[in-house]
Amino acid sequence: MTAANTKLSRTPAGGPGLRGRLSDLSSRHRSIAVIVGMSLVALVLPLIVLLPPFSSFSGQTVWMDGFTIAGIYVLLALGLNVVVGLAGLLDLGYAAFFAIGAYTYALAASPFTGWDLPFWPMLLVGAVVAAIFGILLGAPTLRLRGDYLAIVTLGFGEIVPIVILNSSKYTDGPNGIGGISPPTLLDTRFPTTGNPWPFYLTMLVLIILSMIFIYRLQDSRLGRAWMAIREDELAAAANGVNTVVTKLLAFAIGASTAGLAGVFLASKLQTVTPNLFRFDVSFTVLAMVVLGGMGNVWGVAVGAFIIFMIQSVFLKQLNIFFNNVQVPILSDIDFLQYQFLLYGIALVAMMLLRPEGLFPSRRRRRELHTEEDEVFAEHGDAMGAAPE
Amino acid sequence: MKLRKLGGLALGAMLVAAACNTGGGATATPGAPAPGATQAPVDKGTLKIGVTLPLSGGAAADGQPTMKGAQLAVDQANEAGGIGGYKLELMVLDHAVNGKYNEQQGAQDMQTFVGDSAVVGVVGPYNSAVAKVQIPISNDAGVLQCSPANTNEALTKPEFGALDYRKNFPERINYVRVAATDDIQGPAMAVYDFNTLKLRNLLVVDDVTTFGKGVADNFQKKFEELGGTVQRVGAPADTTDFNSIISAAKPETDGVYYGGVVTSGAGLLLKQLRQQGKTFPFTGPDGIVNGSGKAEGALIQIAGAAASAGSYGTIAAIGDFPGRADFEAAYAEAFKNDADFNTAGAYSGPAYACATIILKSLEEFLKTSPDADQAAIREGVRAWASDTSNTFDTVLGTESFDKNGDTTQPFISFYVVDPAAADGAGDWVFKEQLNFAQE
Repeated sequence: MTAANTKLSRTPAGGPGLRGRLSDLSSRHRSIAVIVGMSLVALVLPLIVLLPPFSSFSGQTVWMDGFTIAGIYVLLALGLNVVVGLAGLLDLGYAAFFAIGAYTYALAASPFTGWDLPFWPMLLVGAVVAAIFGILLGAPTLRLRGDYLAIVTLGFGEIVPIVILNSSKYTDGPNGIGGISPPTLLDTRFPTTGNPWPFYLTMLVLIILSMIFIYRLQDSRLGRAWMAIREDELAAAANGVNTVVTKLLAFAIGASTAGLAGVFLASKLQTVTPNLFRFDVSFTVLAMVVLGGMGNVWGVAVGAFIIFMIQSVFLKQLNIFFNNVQVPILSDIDFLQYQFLLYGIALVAMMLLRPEGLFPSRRRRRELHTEEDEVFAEHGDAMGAAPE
Repeated sequence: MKLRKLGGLALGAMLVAAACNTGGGATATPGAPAPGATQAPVDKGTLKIGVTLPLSGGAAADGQPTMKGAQLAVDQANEAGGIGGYKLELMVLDHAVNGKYNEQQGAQDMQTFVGDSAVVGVVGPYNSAVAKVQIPISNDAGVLQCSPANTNEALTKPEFGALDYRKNFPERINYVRVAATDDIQGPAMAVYDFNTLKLRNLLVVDDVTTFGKGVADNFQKKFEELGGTVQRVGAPADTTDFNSIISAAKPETDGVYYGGVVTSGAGLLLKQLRQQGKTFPFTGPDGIVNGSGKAEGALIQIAGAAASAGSYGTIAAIGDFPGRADFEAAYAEAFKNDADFNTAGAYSGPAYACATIILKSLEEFLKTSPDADQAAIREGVRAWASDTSNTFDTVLGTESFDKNGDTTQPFISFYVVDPAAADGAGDWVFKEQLNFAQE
């Protein structure tokens, strides 16, 4: 893919201008591009919320706390994108891995077990444990495709929270596990309130690392094998792709990202309960991936961020916002009662206007808008597909 | 294309308008009397009281009447001219996600309250699970939180692990509640079932939630202690078919205790019990006492008035409080234009009392230090409310809090369904109340 990419970008598509050279550079040095891009975002976000339309919702620390939680969903979407977007395996039980990661840390650092293991190595442990469960789920579903796979993963997603709910001896059941230790760095505990930067920056580093990791994978032999399986599993197998290992790795890597997110959530909330990992988490994350643009790493990250902000900040605070700004008529409406309607309208509208998602991968855009893509219509696909 | 541009322009215009109108009302401007205001009360700005409840979807039936209870108290305080020169404003945040309470959203909302220096106290939450996530945050920031409905004993009592939730400031009590805890509510019904209703063999069903399982455990322990036998089943709140559970009940079963909150589960259980010809008493905690047969999603509405006869429930608060009739009349008058929630719910009174407690603490604190800044007010309110020697005249009677923040008047009220009440739709009627303070 890298070779193909560079060849593509030398064609007039990007153009010889600054923009063309920039996109050329960023596709050749993905890791640097990710680091620079995310750092810019991280710098701009805390500043932008100081400006009027945002500052009438709430203060900077509150916004940054919201961004940190949004980051959890960005991580989840990045992981699910590997499974659904890259490898084409529809996973409806993704919240299960999130729960496994969270409970791993909850058991390792809470008064419930009496252990107090440090946060940083537990991040890795949580990811590994979730990955193992990913393989455990992947193994029996290897022969399933499409809808059938979706049903099995759906079942898995239901089973995990219910098992946690009912095994009171090990998880304290519906009570959940409380008093989980927040992360410490250089003997300082991350503060729960007041200073949001430690959690914010930790989340940023996690997202940057995961994005670099996933970008590198996408461009690797494994990434190409995932895409081959997504497009046509039989053809991929016939061409020598080991579908067993490839699929299991997709599940494991997707799950490990959710495990990371889970460990982070547990340390941030300091309490985990099975209620946090219900089915609606799975489908919200799936909606994020689809809306962001399946298969495009930075697209799903942005999609996750947007959906999370709409669902849990914007819609929840419309009332307060309109009360503060005193727009006639709008101030009298109780927006809390209409949040499902607004959220639903937003989802339907986005799907009608941009079925390929907000920021689709090049390949997906071509699938849905062949007539608009001039380069493709002339030269065909980089992988050799001809225009229809 | 043109349309798009127009839309962009309109949006831009709205944002600019928004930007111009902000400020002023949103934050307090201490010590700046309005120009030309010569009347006695000086306008010092606005202070906020937060409300954190699940208010949308299936949880609205619990949250909305509770929120309106707090709103009534704040509106009344404003009509009386505010407190110590401050106007008060209710800041309402909803932590229901996809129609059910969500801890993570609850945590975020608490951060919002904590981050807004004008918030002097918070009413809520409704669910104990949410409180477990919020208390570490509000404790760190020292914001007073008063819950009208939380009953889980681990939230306050150190012997049940409450110190895990206030790790950083274990001595700083910022969370108080007017509801009696599950270790009182559950056993209270057990005693009532055993002694008053003369039940001996009970089927105990819980909805596998923090609250439901906790209260059912406490119930079972006491009931078995008294000499009864219990058959225990767990059924998640979204269960729709209870027939297998009912059929599996032992033949000598003479009653049911449902531990949990009515979503649809308890209503269907009751309905299916009656369909199978079981007429024995149906008992439960405050979760089943959730409104008349007219209220959407209420136990009586789901099961039907006739089937609900013989249902007994507890409320972890004073049922027959002194100002009850006045309060309900005031509530009905204030919200008569609200189509869905125009009668007071079981926790409207407690929420009103919580708001009263915050307002009273604010008033007392401002008496001693009228020129304190917002941070000092926040701390002062917290300190005054959690001081065990202070008492509050609330709609629930005289309230005060012990060293953990629990009410010193843990009343349990018993309610029974009267199928003829509420114009034949059936409603809960108050039967008696007991004070468990001596325990």
